[in-house]
Amino acid sequence: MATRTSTKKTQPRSRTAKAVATHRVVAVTGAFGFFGRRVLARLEEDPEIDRVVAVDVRSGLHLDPGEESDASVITRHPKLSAHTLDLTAPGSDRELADILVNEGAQSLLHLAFLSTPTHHMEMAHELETIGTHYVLNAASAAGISRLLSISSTMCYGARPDNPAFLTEDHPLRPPPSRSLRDKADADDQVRRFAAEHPEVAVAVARLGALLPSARDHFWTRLLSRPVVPAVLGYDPLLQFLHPDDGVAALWGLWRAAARGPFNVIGASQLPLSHVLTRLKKIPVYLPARLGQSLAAALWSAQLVEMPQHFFGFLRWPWLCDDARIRSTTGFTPQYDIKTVLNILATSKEAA
Amino acid sequence: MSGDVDAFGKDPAVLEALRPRLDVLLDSWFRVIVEGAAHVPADGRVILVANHGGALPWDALVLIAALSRSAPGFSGRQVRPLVEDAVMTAPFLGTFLNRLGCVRASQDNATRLLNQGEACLVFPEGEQGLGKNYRRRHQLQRFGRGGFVRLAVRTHTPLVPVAVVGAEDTAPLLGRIDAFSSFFADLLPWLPVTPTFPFLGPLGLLPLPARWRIRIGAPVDANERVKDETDAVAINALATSVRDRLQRDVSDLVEQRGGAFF
Repeated sequence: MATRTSTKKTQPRSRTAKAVATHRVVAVTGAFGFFGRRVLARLEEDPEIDRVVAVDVRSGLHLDPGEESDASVITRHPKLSAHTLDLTAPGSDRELADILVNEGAQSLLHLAFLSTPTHHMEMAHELETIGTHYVLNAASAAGISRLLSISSTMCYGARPDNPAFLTEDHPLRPPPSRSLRDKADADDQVRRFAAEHPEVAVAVARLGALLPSARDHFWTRLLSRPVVPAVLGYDPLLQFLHPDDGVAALWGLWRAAARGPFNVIGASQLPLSHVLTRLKKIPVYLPARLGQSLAAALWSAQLVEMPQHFFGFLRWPWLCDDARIRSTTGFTPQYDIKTVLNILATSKEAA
Repeated sequence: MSGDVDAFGKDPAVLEALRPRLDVLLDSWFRVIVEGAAHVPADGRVILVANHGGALPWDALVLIAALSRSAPGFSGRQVRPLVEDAVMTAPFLGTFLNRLGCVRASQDNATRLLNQGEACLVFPEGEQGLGKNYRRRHQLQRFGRGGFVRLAVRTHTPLVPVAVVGAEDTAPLLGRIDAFSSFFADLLPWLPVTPTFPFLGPLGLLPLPARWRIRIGAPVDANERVKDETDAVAINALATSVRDRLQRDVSDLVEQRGGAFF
């Protein structure tokens, strides 16, 4: 992991004097991640924001190869104040609190989450569960008054007894998969924090299955293969969220100083079989038990990036209802599922 | 099969594709006669309350097919049956019924459907109706906790009784093999035994040519009978009166029909 020291990359401002905390200064954890980079672009454009405090384990210059990032634009941007911080390191809560206080940030966007399941389960746990704990400690110590965090609609779990639409009132019942348990735990922590700190406007955006996103993200990778697994006799409805809509939703929630959890999904839904037909993929139908065992074996052997319990998302319902974000912030997704599938089908990754 | 699928999984193209075969099934095989179709409102929310029976949910399929056709005074509506978990979670069957408009029975799903102005079809007997032996055919089982009455009161929806005769004769349940339950746990809560299944293999799933009779009664205003949705006594009284009404209609139809097959 990268260094733990907090280093200023830009903005030759004095670090000794405490800045007056204001919403015109926004701090972002995971700022150079998938959503972080996209949110930074929004923050850059907003005239009501004076400074963006980017906190990330990466320095911003060394992005993963193949990512279509405008890293140089980000790092050269005058509003940006970048800090390198590893949220899995003990003591990072104090360091983050110092950064927030010194920069005078009143708002915090906590986006330091993994976008896709990984075999590095220890690291994932440290980042998502312990990292969130540190971030909340820091937010509390620095007196942050607006906090927005992200989570996943997959944390509800795909289950036979799910209602046709999961609302935010539905309990999170993730499958016994480390990656989703960790995300659900972070979601719980943030909501507990909200209950204990009524003076802070805390929102959690539960993002739907992203498509099309980075090539290594779960749904994009799954649906970019020529052959896609499916469960014999089952054909659940799926929703997909275009990343642009995800960013617009995050932006809307932050602007509205929204409180509570919010489902963020794309418009409309299609059964998995229709999705595969539209993408011209060959479905391989496996009986549920065989598929589950096969998925478990392949995941244990680290041959696939699909945890065994993700098989349930191809079998049982897990559609979500986004009425809450629509009424609270006026957000409406711009991409419907057919558009998203067309974009994926015509992109190079899908070929 | 490439049409749009609604938010609850219904693909109108599936019913239209099956229509010619369903017409033959209803007219020549089951010889279905529907009385009182005009009691189903042409649009807006409504709860159809039906008795339930047979080893497979043929009654849901027949009611979808029969009520989506026009009848004197009725233009046809694709009703949304609320079906028990055991059927909706079964492979193939659950998915197929879902595309035809069936939805897993729950208060939450039903409330959403009614708020969209759909016609919901409920089977208050639930699994007790579907899993009853052929010896107890045409006898209504218990009506659960009156959830459909609470639903009607809460959503201000009229209740329309629908008596169905023929489901038990189409797929008579002679016995249940519960011993296989662990093996079939992801399939069905029990393995049904009918005169032809499992002895004839998958062929045994074909329906027997029973004659069907359906009688639809006048709508009941639940809010008039139950003023307060927490009033358990009034809810139970209305549920019992709907059940008695259905039992009378079923007995009447059985007598009127004569032989089950000829």
